[in-house]
Amino acid sequence: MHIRRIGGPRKNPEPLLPLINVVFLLLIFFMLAGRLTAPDAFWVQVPESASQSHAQAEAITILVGQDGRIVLEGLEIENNGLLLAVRNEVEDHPERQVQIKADRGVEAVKVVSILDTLREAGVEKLRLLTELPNR
Amino acid sequence: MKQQMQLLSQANRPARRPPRRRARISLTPLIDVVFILLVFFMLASNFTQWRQIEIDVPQRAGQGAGAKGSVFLEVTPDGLRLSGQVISDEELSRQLSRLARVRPTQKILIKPAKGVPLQRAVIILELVDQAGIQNVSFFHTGKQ
Repeated sequence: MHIRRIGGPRKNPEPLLPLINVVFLLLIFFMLAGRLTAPDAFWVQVPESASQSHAQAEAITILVGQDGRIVLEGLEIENNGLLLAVRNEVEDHPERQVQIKADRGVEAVKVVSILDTLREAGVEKLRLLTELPNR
Repeated sequence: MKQQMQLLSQANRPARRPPRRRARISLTPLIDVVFILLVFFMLASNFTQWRQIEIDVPQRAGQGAGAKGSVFLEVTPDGLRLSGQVISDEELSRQLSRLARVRPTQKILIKPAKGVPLQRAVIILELVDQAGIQNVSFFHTGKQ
């Protein structure tokens, strides 16, 4: 039995339509699922930990590179300027938490000395950013 | 002359509608824009799941009151020392869980030595945390 389409054989009006559909879906996925954040001053590989508590987005971030460079809120800072810079930042935004995003390869002593500087600047609680281990 | 008149009369007539044809909007520019948006969002968006460890600010050498009564845990490049005694990672978690049961408020000070990467210190911090000890912080030995 021959089934005839109503209207006869129809040419596909636009062969790209399925592609556009997929691209639209991908676009919506990336718009909704991803977070737009300003890129860091340099690449930092944070330590792994099994911690389950999620980091907050709106915190004062101190970036510590593997070579010991320090960047506070996007501004590179010399070691002895950190105290003043952090103090200003904490006074300006007392409600914001302080978090440290340090490379896993940096010396722990270096990070501890930064923590010490933060204590001098009046920070009491701070957070170390980590990520879940890759499996 | 006659031809010219004919042309003029044609021009004076109201413009004839073009034959009804389904106007098709070309999709190519739309696809271009959507592709560019897609590439932008793929490159700019960030999927990293950040986790955090809460840490107290470090105690400092010379502030004796803070360090008094706390247990020192030294992290050296070749091992661990709990109150001066060399100890393995497994033994450390065993001893600390015992300690946490006896004295839950016991303070542990982690003192990383030079040459210890941060990852190692974080592993030790987690070990101490998993053993059930709440009161843990880093120890800073003044200026280096």
